[in-house]
Amino acid sequence: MSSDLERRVLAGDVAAFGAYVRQHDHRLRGVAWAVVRDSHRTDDVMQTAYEKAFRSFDTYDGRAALSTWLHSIVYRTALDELRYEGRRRHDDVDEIGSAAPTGPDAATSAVDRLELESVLDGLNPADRAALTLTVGLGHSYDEAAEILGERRGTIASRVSRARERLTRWEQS
Amino acid sequence: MNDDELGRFLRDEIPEPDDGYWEEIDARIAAEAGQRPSPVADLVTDVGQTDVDVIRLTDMRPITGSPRSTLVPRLVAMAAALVLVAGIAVVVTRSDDPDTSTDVAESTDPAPDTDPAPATDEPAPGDGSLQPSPDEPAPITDEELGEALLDPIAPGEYVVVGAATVEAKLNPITDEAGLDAFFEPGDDVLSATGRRALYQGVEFVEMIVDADAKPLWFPAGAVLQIGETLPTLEGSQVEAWEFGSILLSRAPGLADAGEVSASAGELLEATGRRALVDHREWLQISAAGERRWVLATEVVPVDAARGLETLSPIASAEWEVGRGGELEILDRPGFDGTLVGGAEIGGIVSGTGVRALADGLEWYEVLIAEGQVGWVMANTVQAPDTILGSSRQCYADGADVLAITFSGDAETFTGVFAVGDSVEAVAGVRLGADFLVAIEPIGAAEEAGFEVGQETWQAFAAGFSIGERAFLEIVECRTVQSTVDQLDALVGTYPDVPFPD
Repeated sequence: MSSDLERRVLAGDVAAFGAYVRQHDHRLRGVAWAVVRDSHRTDDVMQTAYEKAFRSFDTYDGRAALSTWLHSIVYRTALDELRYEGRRRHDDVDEIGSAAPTGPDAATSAVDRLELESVLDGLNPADRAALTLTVGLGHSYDEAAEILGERRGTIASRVSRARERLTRWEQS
Repeated sequence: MNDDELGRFLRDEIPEPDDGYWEEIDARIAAEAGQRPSPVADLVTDVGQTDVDVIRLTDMRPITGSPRSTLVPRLVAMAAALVLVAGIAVVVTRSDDPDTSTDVAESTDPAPDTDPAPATDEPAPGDGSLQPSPDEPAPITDEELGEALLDPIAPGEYVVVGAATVEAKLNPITDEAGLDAFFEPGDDVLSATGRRALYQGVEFVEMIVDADAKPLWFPAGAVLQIGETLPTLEGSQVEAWEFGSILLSRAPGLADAGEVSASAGELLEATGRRALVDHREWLQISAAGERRWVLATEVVPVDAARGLETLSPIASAEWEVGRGGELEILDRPGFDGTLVGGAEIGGIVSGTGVRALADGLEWYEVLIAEGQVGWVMANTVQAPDTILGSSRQCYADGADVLAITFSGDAETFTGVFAVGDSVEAVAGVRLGADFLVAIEPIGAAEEAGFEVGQETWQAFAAGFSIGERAFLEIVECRTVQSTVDQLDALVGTYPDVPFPD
């Protein structure tokens, strides 16, 4: 059952839409980031996706939760961005962001984080999205399957494949 | 690293939005909701067609909410909303006529008396059934298609088939694509208008996807008519593509496959028979001595001799390195490939016509040396500009000055752009009968918040207009280190044009 905010969103209430997407933006950005791996393009993807979603409410049939539907739009928009614009990685240490460690081991940790980022960059975008949705953002395999438009078994395979790559990196 | 640690890392990686992010979203949603007119529509006004040799853009007025361009399709809409950074001085010189000081005009002056041409000189749609919106180009007419137009096909209903996502275009003979222009096999029912066109060896058919939207052009080989018998494919091998395992059904469209399945990477023998069920294509394969059926989206054809998951070949073409940064050429398709070559932005690589699918993306085989080939991601290259022009992009990353040479007919112009921030994209787009250049400094415009007034736009447009049917091809981009002497030397006879400090 949808909340009052969701009902207003679906009715085309601009203010309600703004409030709703602000509530969900960080998690949605996680999906976009997982695919495009670039902060500027993440912004582009999100802005385009929100515009698409607002324009497409008449196609929302209510079978999936509104947030799931939004996640799907973000994911497809991110894939479009990736396919159209090409892969362009910003090797910017600043993008490690506020989580950058400090202290005596900071230099080693920073290298490890860069290497882990590189390993994640090297994953299939769909594998990376599945990993982020499940391990990063706590979605179930069924929820991730609905968002990515795939079968549950496919999600499980993607996450397993991604974990295998990470394990190989850790052991190297 | 356990799941908790990995989860925390993945969450911490998610970047916060840049400044202006929410303002942009709010502006777009408000515009979509019709609460205010589109800024592009406001700026599309009459355009003068006066040849002007020097333009000094000094009349800038601050605004907020300047649209941020992203994809090439948006550049078409942005053609009427030229956004310039504070301090840019645009000097256009004729390379063959240095002494044209008497022709200097400033943007603050009204355009000389001319008969203004309509800013949106949009031809009538080909079938008369669709009206263009003010911020999108009109459907291409039969006249504009010219020799590309083929004999019509009978209208009917079609679906997208095959293994890969298909990109549809607003215009089959340029690189223009619309929003939501990617289609998955079986997702939509398309209605053919009957029009066909041939461009660079690829046949396109015009389809209506949404009755309220413009028709799109799809590669003919990527769509099949519903209700028609599918032509058989040559018997070949296919490889299970979907991760995990795929089900091999007893009949096309039948979800229950019993216990027969194939693992990802397993090679299957295709009999060549195909079927269309519920708008999705199924292929018949041989497995364990039985004939079974598999969704076409779950397998890809295999070039057994080369071990590649190939897609249908395209006409071999020259590809221009686009916005992906320096082009990486790998020894095989897929992110695991080894780097064997490269090309800079604007460089040209020659395709062999072979395409492959790897890591969920499309790859092109290209020539890198005599007898040697490599692979590039398809979305990092683009067809070079044509006379009818799409766009070419120049970058001034880290430099203070960008010099862009344009050519039109037999004349060349050098535009010198002294920028206070990085000019990331310069695109030539066509609007009506004029060919305009939109300069778009990503990010800086939003910070500075400048708008292009009607006078400025007219003067800018007039400076690049040559005759009635004008086009500009960007032939060279150069970055120049910013010293006044170097700029003066580049500009030539206009040393008095002010440049930013």
